[in-house]
Amino acid sequence: MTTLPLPSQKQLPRRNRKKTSVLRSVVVYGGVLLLLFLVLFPFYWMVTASIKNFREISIERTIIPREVTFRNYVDLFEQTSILWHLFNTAWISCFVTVVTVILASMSAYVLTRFLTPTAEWIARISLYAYMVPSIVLIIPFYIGLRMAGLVNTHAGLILSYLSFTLPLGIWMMRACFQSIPQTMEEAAVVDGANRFEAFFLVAMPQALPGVVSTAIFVFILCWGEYLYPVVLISSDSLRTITITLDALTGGGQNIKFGLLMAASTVATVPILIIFLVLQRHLVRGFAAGGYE
Amino acid sequence: MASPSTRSPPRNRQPRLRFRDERIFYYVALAPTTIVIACVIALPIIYTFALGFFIQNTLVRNWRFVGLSNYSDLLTDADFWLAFWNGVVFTVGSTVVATVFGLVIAILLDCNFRGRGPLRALVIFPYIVPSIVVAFIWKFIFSGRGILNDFLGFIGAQAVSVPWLGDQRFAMMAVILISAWTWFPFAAITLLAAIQNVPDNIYEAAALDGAGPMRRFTYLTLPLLAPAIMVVVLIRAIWAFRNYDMIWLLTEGGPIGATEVLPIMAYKEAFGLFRMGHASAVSVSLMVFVTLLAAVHFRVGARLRKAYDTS
Repeated sequence: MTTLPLPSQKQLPRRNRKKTSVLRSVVVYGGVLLLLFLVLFPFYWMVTASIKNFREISIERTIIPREVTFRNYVDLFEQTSILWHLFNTAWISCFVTVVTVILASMSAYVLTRFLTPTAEWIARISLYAYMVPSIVLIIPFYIGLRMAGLVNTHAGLILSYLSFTLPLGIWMMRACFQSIPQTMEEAAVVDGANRFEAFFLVAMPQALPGVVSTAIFVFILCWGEYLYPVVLISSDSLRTITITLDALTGGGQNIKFGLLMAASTVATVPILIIFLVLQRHLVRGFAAGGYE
Repeated sequence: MASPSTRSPPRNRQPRLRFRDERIFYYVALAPTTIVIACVIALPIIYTFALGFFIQNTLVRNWRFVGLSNYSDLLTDADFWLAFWNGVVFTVGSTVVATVFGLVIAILLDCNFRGRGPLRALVIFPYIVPSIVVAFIWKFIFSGRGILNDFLGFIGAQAVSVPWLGDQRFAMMAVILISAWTWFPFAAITLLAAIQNVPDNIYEAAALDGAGPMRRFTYLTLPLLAPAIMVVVLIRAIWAFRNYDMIWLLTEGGPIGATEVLPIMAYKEAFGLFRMGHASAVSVSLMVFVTLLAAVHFRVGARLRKAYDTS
């Protein structure tokens, strides 16, 4: 193939081109700065408010804290058992993530490799299930778990989390297995491997990036879940982090923003760590259909 | 018939359970998921449907069958229609804001500049933070004596002290903007992927033919992105309409019902008034609306995939 000379580069006057490129970079970098501000300022405001004293938070409203105090954090750790709640949230989220990833990858594999009518129905139901409003499920959960004696237990909470994580997991893992060619598994089967071996030894290693993305999304969803724990958990010792935060707003008109921002910062740190360590997988997860 | 989103070649449409180990694998892999989905999704939905035909006075016991009267109560209840209408306003508002903003950001992130990679990742952050944290931060920023009012006072040179979320006129607008802030990353990243799928030579050809940036955008970018935009809009609409926690955490449906939507109405009926029958009727009607949206989504998705062969 021959390369044709580009007429535009010859024809355009030099000065004009330079001018448009300057204008272009002004617009682009202006947009970047605006975007940075819009994304980061709320978090900057949260973190700085958590280390300001009351005067600076509500009366002077200083942009840069003049005096750093850890009073809000001291109050937070004295008034609530937030560390214990963090631990609760972490283990529940991890458990649900592991269960979801195991169940979802097995069933999603079947749903992409064996297209029986039953499998098609399960695929359709789980795609639809992800759109079912959680408010529809919470009433039967509440009544059902009460009857089973599982209300106000972590077991009940974990069951209820599966109602949104499993459809999401199936959705994401299905997209993942669809993008993996079947030829290698077929070659393995021809060579005498059974389906279990084809799945565990051939398909799963290829699907590992998808597994990681799915796990991250499921974990993040569990970490921030609000409705189910607020309805199902009543004892302080069983609370998850979202309920710790929710409970801080109670008690009259006087919202202590310093305390709230300190608690919010504590609740965000684990998400920040995941974000910093695994951001590559996060971006890919979006492409695989991982959405809230 | 194959499900709309199946994209495998036709030869795979046949059930391929030729061998015994494949049949065993099939059942072992599908059974647990099927059981869990039946227990935590299918049965609860059926239960909610059934509950909508009953009235119960005390918790759990004392059921009385009332047929469709919960539903007829709803249809004549002005609060129900207000909540429905608020839901429509919230859905349309936050979908439009998040999608337009997301599209602008996607185009920006497609440009060449220093630090593009980190910024692409950073944009996701508002999306993965727990909704309660987002609600707290913005409640703080939007409060009567918050930084937003300081800023507006600074620009307008006169003191502003509107409690944005507590004012009946502005509460819905504030809720829409805040939920768009948490949701624009999805639109931005999805649309960015779609933009990157557009081959560069189309733009080069258009540039050679003398099309300026604006014309390239309206005649090339927008039509080529139309399927992706459509999918983003539909997914967002479904999620906005069923959204419960963000609005609840920001305003609890107030002030004076200004931001009360169907999920919040159902929640208040169920766990404030303990009228489970009414609450179920509200949530069933919510589910009907969401199902209609989901049906459109699957339809449009299938048709777009056929027309454009993208997802």
